[in-house]
Amino acid sequence: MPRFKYIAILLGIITLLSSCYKEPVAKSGQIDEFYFVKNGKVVLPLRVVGKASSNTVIIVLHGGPGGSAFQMRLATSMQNLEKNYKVVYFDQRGSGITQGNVTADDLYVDKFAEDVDMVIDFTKQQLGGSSIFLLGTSWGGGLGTYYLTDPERQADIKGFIAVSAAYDIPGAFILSRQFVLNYANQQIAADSGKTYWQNAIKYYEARPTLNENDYFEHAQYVNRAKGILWGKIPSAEDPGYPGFKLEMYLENFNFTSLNIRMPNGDNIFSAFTNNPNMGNITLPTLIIWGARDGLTPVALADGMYNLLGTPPAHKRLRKDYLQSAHTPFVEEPTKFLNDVRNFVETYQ
Amino acid sequence: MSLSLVQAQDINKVYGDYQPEEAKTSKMIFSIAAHGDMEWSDKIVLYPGAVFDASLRIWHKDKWKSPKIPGKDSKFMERELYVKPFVGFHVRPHFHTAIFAGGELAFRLTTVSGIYGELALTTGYMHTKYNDPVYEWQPDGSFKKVRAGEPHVMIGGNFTAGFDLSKISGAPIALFAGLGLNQTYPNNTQWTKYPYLRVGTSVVLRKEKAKK
Repeated sequence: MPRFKYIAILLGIITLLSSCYKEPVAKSGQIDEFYFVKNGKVVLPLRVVGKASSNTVIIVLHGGPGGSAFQMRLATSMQNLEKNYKVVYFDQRGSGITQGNVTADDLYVDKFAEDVDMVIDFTKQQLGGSSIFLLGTSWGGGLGTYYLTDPERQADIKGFIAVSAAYDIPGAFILSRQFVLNYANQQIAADSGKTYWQNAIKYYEARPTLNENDYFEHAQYVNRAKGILWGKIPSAEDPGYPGFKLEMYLENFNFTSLNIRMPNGDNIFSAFTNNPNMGNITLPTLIIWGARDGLTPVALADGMYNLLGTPPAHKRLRKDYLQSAHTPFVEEPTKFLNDVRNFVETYQ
Repeated sequence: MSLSLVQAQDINKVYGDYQPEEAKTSKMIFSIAAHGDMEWSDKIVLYPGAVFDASLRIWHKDKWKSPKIPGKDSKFMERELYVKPFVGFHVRPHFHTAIFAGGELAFRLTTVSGIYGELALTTGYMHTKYNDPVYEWQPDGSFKKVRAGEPHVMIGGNFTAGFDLSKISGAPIALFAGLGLNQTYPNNTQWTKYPYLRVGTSVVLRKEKAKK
């Protein structure tokens, strides 16, 4: 009899553990579905959340590189978009919480674009999406730009929402380096953190041109200069991806962000620029930029607007996000939501 | 020479004859544990699983403790080395279901009161299966529903503390809880850590070997 008692205790413990994570429940009229999509040996996690009856689908291209779309979903603006449309979140190869064994040889930018083809095919065939928009932020905006410079690929897309888009990474590095130097000089003049910012200036004097080896340290300086997050972060209602593994996300980020290459083998941090081909992009585009962005400074917004081949009537430039740095969808969610919704309603 | 010292010497003499025979025991342990795959950022989340193992004793050395009151049975601390084959699983919803198996080399120290601590080194294999529908993109652009998973080697270790009731009563039961860490390879050429919490129970089978 005592043995049964111990077994009962054990079963109780297992039951207790089973209830320790929260399974998301879709609200009435909404869907919340999880899939994996496989391209050769590469398997990408994909989640579609939104209005069940909507045929309009927004596919999210996350930043980083190496970041996670599932983390982007924590922004209230993204969750509010789901009330009107279906939103597809997927982690790019080697990024976020992707599992498998992607190596550096699999991390070519044209392969990333091929994965976007796959997700679009999946959206059309399995999710009933007939009106598809791409929403790319930071590196995701750069990837979206790269993808859409192919006119054939534009045929499947109704519109492009480019948020702080890293469409020209070497150009962004030049502006971003200057952003930190300006901030450092301001702080030194104000006698605030003088030693730290003097060291920052020495760091940049030793590196007139930044490359992938400088990315993490540079990003830390930009962050200290409030160039990534400037405003407050409103808390999200949804706790996020149920099985999210932070450890894996960090490892993937460290590995993938530094190893993506152009088709010719050059690292994206020294060679990823879409400037010569951006005239090929003629579809409706909404450009959103934080005025205080230090990683892809706002001067790039004008550059993008001018380089796009989209007729002026169908391209919108919104760089009046005065309380935002690099993540306007997080920092000014209501404004972001209204701009995106307005754009999608116009072109869906 | 005081009386108590004489008594102690007598007791030691008695136990000196008694000790080797009492120590000639074999011991096997079978355990089942709830295995919580841990995740934490702002809070700790446990993903459910279970582990089954058998502990095969490959070495032991007992340390005898004389009773404080003459006439009572003597007791001993156990220092033991075990080989532990195991099999288990955990489930992370919308991520993977992992099945793992392998072996541990464990050192266990059990006190006279039955409380024990155990330190183990783990090697094994983990196979993770994607636990949401997997759609494979075909050359013609269509999708085919497939099963998919990933292989990993696994190394790690754990510390367990428990209470072995068989040490103080006839019940062949032990209760334990522990923390551990497994690392698996590869995941995108990286090692991935899996910290875990275990709470479980064991059946402790002690058997006296035949006396000469």
